[in-house]
Amino acid sequence: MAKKPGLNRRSFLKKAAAVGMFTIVPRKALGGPGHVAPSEELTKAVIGVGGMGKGHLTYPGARLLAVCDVDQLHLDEVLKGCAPDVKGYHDFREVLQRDDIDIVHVPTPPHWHALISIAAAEAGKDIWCEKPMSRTIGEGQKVIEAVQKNGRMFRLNTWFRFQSKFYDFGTEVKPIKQVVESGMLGWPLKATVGTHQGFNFKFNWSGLTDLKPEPVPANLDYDFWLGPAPYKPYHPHRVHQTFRGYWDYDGGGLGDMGQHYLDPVQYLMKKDDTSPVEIEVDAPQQHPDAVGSWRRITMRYADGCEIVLDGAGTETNAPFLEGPDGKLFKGFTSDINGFAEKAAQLPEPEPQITDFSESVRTRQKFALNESNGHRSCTLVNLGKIAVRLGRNLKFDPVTQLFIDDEGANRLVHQPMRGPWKL
Amino acid sequence: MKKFLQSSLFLMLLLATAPFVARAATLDEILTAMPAQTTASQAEQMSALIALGPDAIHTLCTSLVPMGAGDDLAARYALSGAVKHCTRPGGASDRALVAAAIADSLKDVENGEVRAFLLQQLQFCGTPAEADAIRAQMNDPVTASPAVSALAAIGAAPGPMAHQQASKTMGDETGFKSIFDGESLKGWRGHRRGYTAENGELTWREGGKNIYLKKPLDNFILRFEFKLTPGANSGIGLRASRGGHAAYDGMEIQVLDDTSDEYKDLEPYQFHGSVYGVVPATRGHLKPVGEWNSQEIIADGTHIKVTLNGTVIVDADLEEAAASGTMDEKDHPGLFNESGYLTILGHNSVVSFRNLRVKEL
Repeated sequence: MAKKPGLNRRSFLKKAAAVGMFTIVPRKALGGPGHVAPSEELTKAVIGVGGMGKGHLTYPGARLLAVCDVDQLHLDEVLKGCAPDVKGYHDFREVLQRDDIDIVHVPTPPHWHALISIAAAEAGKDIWCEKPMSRTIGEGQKVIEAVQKNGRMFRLNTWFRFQSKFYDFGTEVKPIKQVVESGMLGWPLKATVGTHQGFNFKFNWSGLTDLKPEPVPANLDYDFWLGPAPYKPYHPHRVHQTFRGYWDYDGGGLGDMGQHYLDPVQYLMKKDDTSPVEIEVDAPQQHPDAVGSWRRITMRYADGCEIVLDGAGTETNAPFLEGPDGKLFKGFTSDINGFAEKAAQLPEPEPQITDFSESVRTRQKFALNESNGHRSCTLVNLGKIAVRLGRNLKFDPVTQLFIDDEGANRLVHQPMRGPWKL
Repeated sequence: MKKFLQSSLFLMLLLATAPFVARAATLDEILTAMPAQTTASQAEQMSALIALGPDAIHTLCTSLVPMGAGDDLAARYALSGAVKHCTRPGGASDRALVAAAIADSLKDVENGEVRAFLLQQLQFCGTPAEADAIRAQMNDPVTASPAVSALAAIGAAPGPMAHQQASKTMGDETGFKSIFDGESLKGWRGHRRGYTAENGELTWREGGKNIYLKKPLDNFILRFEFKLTPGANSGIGLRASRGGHAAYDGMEIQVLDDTSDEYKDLEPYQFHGSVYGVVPATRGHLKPVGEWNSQEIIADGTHIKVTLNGTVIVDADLEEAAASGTMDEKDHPGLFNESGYLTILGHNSVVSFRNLRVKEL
């Protein structure tokens, strides 16, 4: 099903792009001096329009041409509010065959992220994928391969490393990055991520262990919804939002929010191209199907940097970031003398491409792409594996396999239910 | 009387001061402790469970019920916990015990959904020793898919999964000999006029019947590529007689365009890759019609294994598959031939083959 990328269209767009920064142009500004003619306009399709997908419909930068969902009710509802030229699809593979679509959005549940991203890459599309990037570490590696082999642009739908208030920490990540880069805190760093630092692990996203199978509603193609996940009898709690509570599709609140919290930490610690070597866990025994809560996950890098995920919320007084020379607390306060003045004079961090349309037009990697996105997703997946197994683990960041732990490695690479495969 | 009282008193004193000896936890006690609340107690409980031996694991497996049919929550925690614990570093002997016990219980579990759960547990802890028991589950539509996944996990351990796109050569080609020279039907007999041989491709021609490799084969691996046209139907006869009906006077590995509308009502054992009438193949692994597919067929005694584009789609033992009669309820007198002729079947449609090679076992 491999298609060559639309070279003519792409090279035209590249020539049309001026050297320099693009900004997202609001719809009402089009038509003026900065008007983008339809043939230069980027186009997109959104696959999975039940939950997060609805938001993707209106992300600026590309014109919506297609929506896809395996639940007819979701599809019908969304089509009602779309322009008449937006077409609805049941099968994402048909969407990928269209030559007139540049970007594919993937807000499906996580067990589909890798498969669709890879298929989209092979069909010559650029990809805007929801977090977590992939349900397993093995899948993430395959996404990187496909994206890079096909010369595609890839971005994840998390953004805190480059914009927005960083949850209840209180500021954006940028000033934190400036503080780290200045060396003020020293090295190595320890990050604590929990309620008292401003981050909620959403344990409400847990699975149920007493599901009684129900008939599949006529509007839902359950077999297609499951896709690569093992077949299990239908129950509404398995799908549509609450899928987050099942190992087969996601990983609870850690799977759902983990990449939002941990990608900036990875960025701050300059660990975009590596992974922790030790993982420790404190959790109750997990059910084989339903995700439960956990108390603490600690991950340590080879250089001594450490990330503590405080699920139980016991780290009442811990700073968000701590180094040998100083601490940075929620609210951007510190124990360093004269911190406020020092922080105000720090240089800007390295610039990043933060507009995906610019990435697509210039073919330069987006700030959070398939490579660094895979590594921050791996933080989430390492945590999930440790919780699921209930034991401490040692990981090799180069082979991306655990050391001497067969059970853990069987969670890195998991076979898919046929006919789906990587 | 006095002596008796004295001895009794002495005995009572002895018992009262005897050191307390810890008794091994029973299965019921372990179940009551599920789920463990800390990683330490989880390890302790699972260790105790495995120490109870294969019978305890077997009991857990046979106590499971389908979702919603009853309360087997503790058993599910316990069994999955043992599976996780036995795959820890240094757990090899535990793993051998647990995996073997689960595999052994498959035959004693009637419900397909429960067996699917057990197969998923074997996906996490199984070893090659369990492969045969897992294979036996491939004939049941409820367990076929989890069985394939379990086999894939076992085959590829400890490294990355073997679910890769098939490359032109399917791994090690040592010992393989070409059986088609690309430009002639040399080495083939039967209806040679019914086929063309040019540019490396062997293609059916209008009116073509069967051709067979002149040299008979018994146990072997066949590798080749093939390309279908819409609605195509052909087949590879194994250990067939000459001039007979390969599907019955030997066996036929079906070649078929599964996607064609005209085949939508076929039985599972009639689709591409199936041992026709006997073992259904897993579907969905053909490339789009018109593209070249690569396939491997292993015929080793009664073990038949078909791999299509890198995915195993049949992995069966003919004795087990036909134990209570073949799926199509027809006579297959040649099914257990020990040797015979490798045949390409002309079923009135254009199919092309190339790169045909055989390794005798």
